[in-house]
Amino acid sequence: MQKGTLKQILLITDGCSNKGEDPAAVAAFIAEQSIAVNVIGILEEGAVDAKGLSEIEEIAASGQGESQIVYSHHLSQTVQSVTKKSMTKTLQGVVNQELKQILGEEKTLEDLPPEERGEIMEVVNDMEETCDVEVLVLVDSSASMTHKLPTVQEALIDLSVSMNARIGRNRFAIYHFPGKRKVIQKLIDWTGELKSVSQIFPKLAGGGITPTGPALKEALKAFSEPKKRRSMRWNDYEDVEEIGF
Amino acid sequence: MTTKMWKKSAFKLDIGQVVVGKWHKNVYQVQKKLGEGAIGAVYLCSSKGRLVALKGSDQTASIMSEVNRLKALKRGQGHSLGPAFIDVDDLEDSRGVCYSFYAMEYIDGISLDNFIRIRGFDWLDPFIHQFSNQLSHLHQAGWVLGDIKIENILVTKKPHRLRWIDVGGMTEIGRSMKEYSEFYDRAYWHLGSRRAEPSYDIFAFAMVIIRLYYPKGFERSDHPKKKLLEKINQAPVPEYRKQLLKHMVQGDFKQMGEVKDMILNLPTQQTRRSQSSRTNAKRKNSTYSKDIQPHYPWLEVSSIVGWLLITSYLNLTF
Ligand SMILES: Nc1ncnc2c1ncn2[C@@H]1O[C@H](COP(=O)(O)OP(=O)(O)OP(=O)(O)O)[C@@H](O)[C@H]1O
Repeated sequence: MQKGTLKQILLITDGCSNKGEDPAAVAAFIAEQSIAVNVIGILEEGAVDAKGLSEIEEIAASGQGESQIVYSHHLSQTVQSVTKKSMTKTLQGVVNQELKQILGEEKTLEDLPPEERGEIMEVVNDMEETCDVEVLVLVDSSASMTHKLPTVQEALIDLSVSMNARIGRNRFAIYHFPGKRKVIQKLIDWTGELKSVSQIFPKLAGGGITPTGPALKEALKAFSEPKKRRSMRWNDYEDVEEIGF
Repeated sequence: MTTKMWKKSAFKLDIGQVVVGKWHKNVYQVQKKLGEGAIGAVYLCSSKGRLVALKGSDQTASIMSEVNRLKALKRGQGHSLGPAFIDVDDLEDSRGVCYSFYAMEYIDGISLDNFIRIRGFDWLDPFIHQFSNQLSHLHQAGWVLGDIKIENILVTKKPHRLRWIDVGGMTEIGRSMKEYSEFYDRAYWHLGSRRAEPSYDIFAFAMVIIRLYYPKGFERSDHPKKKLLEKINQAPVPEYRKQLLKHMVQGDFKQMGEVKDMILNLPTQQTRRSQSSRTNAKRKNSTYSKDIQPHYPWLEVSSIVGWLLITSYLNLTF
């Protein structure tokens, strides 16, 4: 069995973008390349920023990913649940796509009787466990974020502990934005293990601008940089077709 | 996606409502709400003359995964730890919104921490023994229970047994843990991975016992392992149980059977009797729940005295 690679961007931010193109539009473009865009919004205790919240939801919706707003002390579990939910969503999308071809345009998972649906969920679970995953983490390092970065680091290391318990392989890369001279700045190059990294975030002088749209656009380039990797297709799971319909 | 009717909306039933499954046409009458979790809500229903627990959600995928696990749980056990699986189906409400649900055995019991608070720590060893036994069956069948935490363990009335109510975390051995809760997660304490192994359950089960002594829990420090061992040492726990807990959290046991063996080879009764009279004294002050009938498997003089005190206390409160 040839396994596919599932690709995701995980954007961690605490507010609204204020420079460059509309991040939701960029996310929609990225989703077209079979890369899901997930967003986690870290909230100050007590603060509600309605504009920031709706932008976070909008980016993930256009990016065919998941979003979640969280207070910083719950970050670890949120990072993992968002990543896993997004994997399930992508894989279910792959399965639904295939079902449409077998059952006709208007059919999805929900149109099957519960027993068959259960079998398909087992396949989705298997894929989740065995597929290779690439996660590009994009961290907003504007001034208001700087004191949250230690928590972000802890959450990312914990994410790699969870992901590396899977059978499939993982690669992580970490970028922050805005960089000193560039839109985004590389912190950790593609690696399978974040546990050994003692300090992800060096002293970052956070400024006032948050160019989320341009940063996402650059992140996409960082993805295809090393070599062209295949993204997930149904055919990567030949054995799946054996479930009878 | 194409079917708009499956839009996100919380699963909610009304008391007295009659639910008829779309595929299997089984009928459920809603009695009361039992609780609500991250995925959906659970209701007590009557169906075919018996009580069942019905869990529904707008996330059909999660419901199907749980059903698969309930079925596996059934295959992996002699007598039941978890609820028996009854039915899986869809429900369309009056607005045309679709939900998935499953029906399982209703487990009538109270939470482990309440039970121990009322009846005392004497019950702990029999419970550890029973739970280890059933977990080892499940492990032999290739699964770990996963998300073991105090909220998911109930004690039934007659007989008093531990039962399990949340299959969401069940994971096949060798895979990554499906769900976990920080306090009970060995990786959080830097004492192992999140790969599903029998020792993952053993750790989490030890944390359940520790949690009985620290109802509010505690957080890890910069030295998670040291902190945890300190907490075990500081707890009002008999020495033999401290040793047991330390072995359990440090991964010294690879199989549940080893935990069971250690319980069976317990030291003399003397150390334990002094503890039991202490709990009797505590009982006098505790608010005794009316729906638990005190009954003693092994009567001792001290417990009879305790019994008299409790009965008079109960008479006063009626
Ligand atoms: N089979 C059952 N018998 C009796 N009570 C049950 C049963 N299943 C669930 N319950 C009750 O319903 C409550 C909600 O259960 P549910 O599994 O939905 O939520 P949870 O475990 O709190 O959270 P999550 O969905 O995040 O795992 C439980 O706390 C329990 O009290």
